[in-house]
Amino acid sequence: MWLVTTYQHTSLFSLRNSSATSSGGKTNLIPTMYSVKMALLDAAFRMGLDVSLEFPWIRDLEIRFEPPEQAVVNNSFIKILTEPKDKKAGPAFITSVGFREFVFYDGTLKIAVKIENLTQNHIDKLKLLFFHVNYFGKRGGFLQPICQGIQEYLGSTFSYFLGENGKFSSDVIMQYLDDMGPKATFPSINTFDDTAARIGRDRIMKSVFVPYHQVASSRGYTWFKRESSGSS
Amino acid sequence: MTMLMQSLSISGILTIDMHSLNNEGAEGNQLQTRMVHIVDENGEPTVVNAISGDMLKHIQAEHLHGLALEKELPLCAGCTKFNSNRINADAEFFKSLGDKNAIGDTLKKVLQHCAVDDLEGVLITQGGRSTPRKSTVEFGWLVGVPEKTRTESYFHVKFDNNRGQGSGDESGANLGQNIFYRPASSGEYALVMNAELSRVGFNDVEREYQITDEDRKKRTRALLESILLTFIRPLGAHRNTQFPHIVNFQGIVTTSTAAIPAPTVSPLNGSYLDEVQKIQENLNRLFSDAITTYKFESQSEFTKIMADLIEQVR
Repeated sequence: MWLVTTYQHTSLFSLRNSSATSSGGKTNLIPTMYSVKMALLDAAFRMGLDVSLEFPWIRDLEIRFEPPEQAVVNNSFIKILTEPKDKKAGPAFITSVGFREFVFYDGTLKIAVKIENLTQNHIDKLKLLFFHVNYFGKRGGFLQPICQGIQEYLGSTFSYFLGENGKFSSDVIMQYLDDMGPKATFPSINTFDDTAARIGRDRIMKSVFVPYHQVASSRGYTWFKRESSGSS
Repeated sequence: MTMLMQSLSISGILTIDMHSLNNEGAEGNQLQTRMVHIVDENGEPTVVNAISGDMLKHIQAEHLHGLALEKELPLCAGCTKFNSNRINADAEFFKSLGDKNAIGDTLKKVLQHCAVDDLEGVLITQGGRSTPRKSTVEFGWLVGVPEKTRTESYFHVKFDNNRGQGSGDESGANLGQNIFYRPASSGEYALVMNAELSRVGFNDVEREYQITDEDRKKRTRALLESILLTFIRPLGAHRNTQFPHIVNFQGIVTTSTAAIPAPTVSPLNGSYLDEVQKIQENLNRLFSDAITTYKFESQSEFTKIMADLIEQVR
C-alpha cells in the first residue's frame, strides 16, 4: 500500500546532483528521497511537532517518484557568489559565474510512500506533512500539492531501485539519488548541528531508474519524456 | 502583534514590453538575452524569453534596501551600502561576535543586528562558521507565455563624429565608433512568488522570535511594501535606454493564516485562477479556512490588495 501525493510544479525545478560542484551545477531530474525527507522534517517543525521524536519513522520511509510526463532541462549560466581562494584577505564572497540547470515540467509529479509498516498515527501525520511542502531543491522551485490517495500497487511509470523485482519501465535513465541511511541520527542530518553527515551511513547513494527517455537535445536544453500513466 | 497572515503568495501574468532586464552573456557585439525551453499546452517544446528568480529577488532586495534606509530599520555595514556580501562585509559585527559562538547564538545576533539579512537571507562562513539564514521571500522564474512573447535583436551605434580612423579603438579604451546588437522582449510573463511572513525575526535554530513585536511589524510591512514595489517599478539591466513598459498585471494573491503555505499555480496553465480557487476550497476543508484568495485584473487592483494587506499588519 502506498500513499501517493500529487504535486503540480508552478516554477522551474533545480536540485544539484550530489557530485556537482558549485561552478558546474548539474541537476537531478527529480527530487531525491533525502530532499523529500528533509522537506517533511521542515514541515514538521512548522506544524509545531517535536521533530526529534518524528525523525526515526520519517528517516525510514520508502519513497518512489512518478515524474511528470515531460521534462525539459535548461542549461544556463548565472551569476553566483563564491568564496575567494584566499579566504583570509579580501571579501567573504566574490562574484563569479556558474553553470546551472533548471527543469521545466509538463504534468504532475507523484510522490509515493510505502505505508504498510506505519502506524495509523504516522499515516495521518504524513498526509498533513505533504500538504505543508511547497518546494524541493533550490528555493523558488515551487510546487503545489493538489491531491492525495492510497494505491495498492505502483505502475511502471514510477521510479525503482537497482536490483528491485517487479513490472517496471524498460525505458529509463539512471540517476544516483541520496537517501537517509537506516542508522542516520537526527544531529547528523540537522543543518544547524555541528555533527557531520557521513556518506555511507547517514547519507547513502542509491541507483534509481527514472522512467524517462531522451527525445532531443541541443546546446541549450535536453528534452525527456516518459510513457503515459494509462499505458502501465 | 496582530498579524494573522503566516504566508503570502502571488501567481500572475505580468505584461511587459521592450525590456532587456535579464541577459545571459555576449558573443562579440551581440548581447544574448535569457531564453528557456519549456513545453507548451499542446505538449510541444518551445523556447521563450525569461527573467530568472535571482533577478526578481535582486529587484525586490533593492527596493527593500531603500525602504529600510527610509524607515531607519537596523542595517549592518554591508547592507547599508547594498553590498551583496551583506553582514559578511561588517568587520565590526564579527569583532563583537568573538571567536566561538553556537550557531543559534550567531543567528540571534544577526537577526537583531540587520533587517535585510533577516528578510533576504545570508550565509556566514567567516571564522570557520557555517551559519545559514534562509530568505523569507522566494521568487520563481518569470517565464514568457508561449505564442504571447517575442524577442528581437536591435541594431545600435555609439556614434563618433571623428571616425576618420575607422571603428573602435585598438587600445581597448572605450573610444571611437562602435556598433552593437541588443535584445528587446515583449509579452506576457508567468510569475509565482511566496513570502514566509511568520519567519520574520524568527530564529530557525532556537525556534523563537529574536526581535520585539513592534520590530517584527515594521520589518513585515517593509517586506510587503518591497514586494509591491517590485511589480510597480522593475529594476534590472538596461533600464537607462530600455525601461520596461508595464502594460498590465493580473492574477491572484493568496494568504495563509496557518503553517500550510499559501498556494501557487503557474499561470503558464491557462486555467490557473480556477485551479488556485479549487485548491483553496480543498485546503480550507482540511485547515479550517486558513487560505484566502484575492483576484486582481490590473496593477491598480493589485496595489489596492497589497495596500489593504499591509494595513492589516498592525
